[in-house]
Amino acid sequence: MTFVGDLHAALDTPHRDDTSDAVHDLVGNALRRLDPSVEVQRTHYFTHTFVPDIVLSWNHAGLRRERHVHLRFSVTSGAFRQDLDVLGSDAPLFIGMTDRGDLDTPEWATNGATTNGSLVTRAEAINDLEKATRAETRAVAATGALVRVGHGVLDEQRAGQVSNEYVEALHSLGGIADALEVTKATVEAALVTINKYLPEDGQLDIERTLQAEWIRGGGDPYDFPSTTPWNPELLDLPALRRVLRSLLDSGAPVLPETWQRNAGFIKAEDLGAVLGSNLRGGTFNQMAHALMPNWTAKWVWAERLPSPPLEETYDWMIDGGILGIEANDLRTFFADDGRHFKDKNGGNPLPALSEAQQMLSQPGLMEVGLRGLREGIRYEPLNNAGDVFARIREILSAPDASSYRVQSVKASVPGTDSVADINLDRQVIELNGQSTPISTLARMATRFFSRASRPEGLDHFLATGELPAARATTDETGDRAA
Amino acid sequence: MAIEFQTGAEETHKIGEGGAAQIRRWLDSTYRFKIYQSIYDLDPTGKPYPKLRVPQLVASSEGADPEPRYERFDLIGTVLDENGVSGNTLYVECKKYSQAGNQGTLYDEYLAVCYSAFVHLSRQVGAPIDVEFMWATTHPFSLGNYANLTTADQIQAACATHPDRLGGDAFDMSIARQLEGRLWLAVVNQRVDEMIMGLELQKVVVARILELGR
Repeated sequence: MTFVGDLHAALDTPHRDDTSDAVHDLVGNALRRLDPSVEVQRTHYFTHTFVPDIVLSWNHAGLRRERHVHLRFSVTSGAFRQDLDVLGSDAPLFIGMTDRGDLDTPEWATNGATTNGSLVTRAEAINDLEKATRAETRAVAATGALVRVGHGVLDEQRAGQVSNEYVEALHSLGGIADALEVTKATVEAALVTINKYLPEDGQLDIERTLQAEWIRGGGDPYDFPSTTPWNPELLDLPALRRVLRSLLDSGAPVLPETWQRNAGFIKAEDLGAVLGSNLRGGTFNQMAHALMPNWTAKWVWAERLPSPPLEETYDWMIDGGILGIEANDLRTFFADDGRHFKDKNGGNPLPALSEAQQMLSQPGLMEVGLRGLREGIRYEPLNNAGDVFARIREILSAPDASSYRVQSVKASVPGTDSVADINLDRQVIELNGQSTPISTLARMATRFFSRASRPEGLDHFLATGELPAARATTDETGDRAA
Repeated sequence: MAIEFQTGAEETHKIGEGGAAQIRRWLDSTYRFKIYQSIYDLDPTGKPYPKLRVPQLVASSEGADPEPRYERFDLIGTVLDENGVSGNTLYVECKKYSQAGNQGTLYDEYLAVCYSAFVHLSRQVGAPIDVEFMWATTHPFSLGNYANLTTADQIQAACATHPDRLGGDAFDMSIARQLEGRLWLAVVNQRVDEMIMGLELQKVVVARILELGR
């Protein structure tokens, strides 16, 4: 049975309480199918003059919004004018359940009356919109916008036109690479049609949704037939997220300049919040590689895995809203705000001084903090103490030197004038407020915190965005051998 | 036997739609009634729904089932108590008059219809049926007898005038006394319409109702 058939059967239920329950369930479910983002609440009033039958609610830009749904047997008769007069100021959704009158030129509109912000429709039109969502699930973006903020008179013929053109536009995006102009025209026509029934914010929502689909289909956002020139910096967070997720989910290759144009302005600190969910590797690696030259951070926290992976691993990731990189046994996260890492711990034993000679043999070390068994923390200023190795050797020759462990290091940041405080206990690097390129920080984290690092592998990944060649030897037959 | 659809006066009398809508709006605005359907709410084939029909007592002819007889009201709904809890079913007869007219005569027939329906429906369930009836008019009538219009004596007098509504049964005063407490008489003229809360007040009340419903 169709929605209309079910609705008419429900209205024929002998007991009126059963009727209202059944009708509310049917209409509520149909509206939920047209817009899965809305919460549907029935009021237990049926066709009441003032109290809506159903209240729809949803979140929009952090605010809870509502729309009342009033069921009426007829939305074409002259008497319906009173409903528009009494209830129209709240811009509700009116659904005619049984009448077959002319909704194109309804009786109530003879004096030029308009619906203002209300949407006047009827069961047959809901049926047609539902058909479209069954045929193409992405059509819920259009049907949902109509349900939430649509206005005007939407009879079945108009509903069919709106939904068909929208679905056609979605399908045309599959051929965007071969027929850009045709796709543009189809999308433009769909937007013109649906915009007649939407207020400005609804039009913008639909435009952005189609634009996201356009991008997902491999189209350049700058080619999209939008009403305003494309400027991703002006998008609100959900819209920007939709665009970037579309690019990430796009099966087509995304050029580095496309990433730069659409996400080059996003700080590394904000990227996790913009993307909105955990991500790792795959197309996110491409995105990160394209955007990495723009990224800086003031804090780093690293987490060492219990054991290094069997195969070399290099992946960019978003975890818990924070940008990070996994390089073999180390996951390194970057932020501008150190509070992200205030409760993080390293969780690994400090390296013994004797083990850390390689770590400390790099140029730029300014100070090392050591922890002995009984002495607590002992800082050894190195900047004026001559050669680092000589100083370490001196310490190692002291009695009980083997018990010393490296607690902290102060080192100059390569390629900059800034100094980094490296806490090996918490595995945190603090840049003292200096924005530092993330590639530099990734290398520093690997140097100080990793036990299974291969700096040249990380360098390759940071430079090319691709995995380094496997560390393998080749025997005489050409077969790889570990 | 299939019940044949009987078309009554209200079904073809579109002039009354405005009156029924006005009275419904007033009833809804009191929030002591939930009106579900009016005689002007038509099914997809253009006919009124049978929920507004009440059966009437019919004299049985020898050896044959009596032909059923129905009367239709203009509105059907539910009476709510002071806390909004649903109670009895309410049938409303709406009249739009600019003067008393022949309402006195029609009202007598209405009382006989109510009595007949009350007896018939009560017999079906074996107890006094949980229904109430309302005569809602835009103009008062029978002013000399206004205070008695919903009494058992008035019901008795109406049934005496319309004995065909009794279906051959004797009038039962005890039933009339049960019925008199279920009769409403309301005058809803234009000025009463003006007493309905304005839109802003209505919004506050509706918002509160929705809040309570959550």
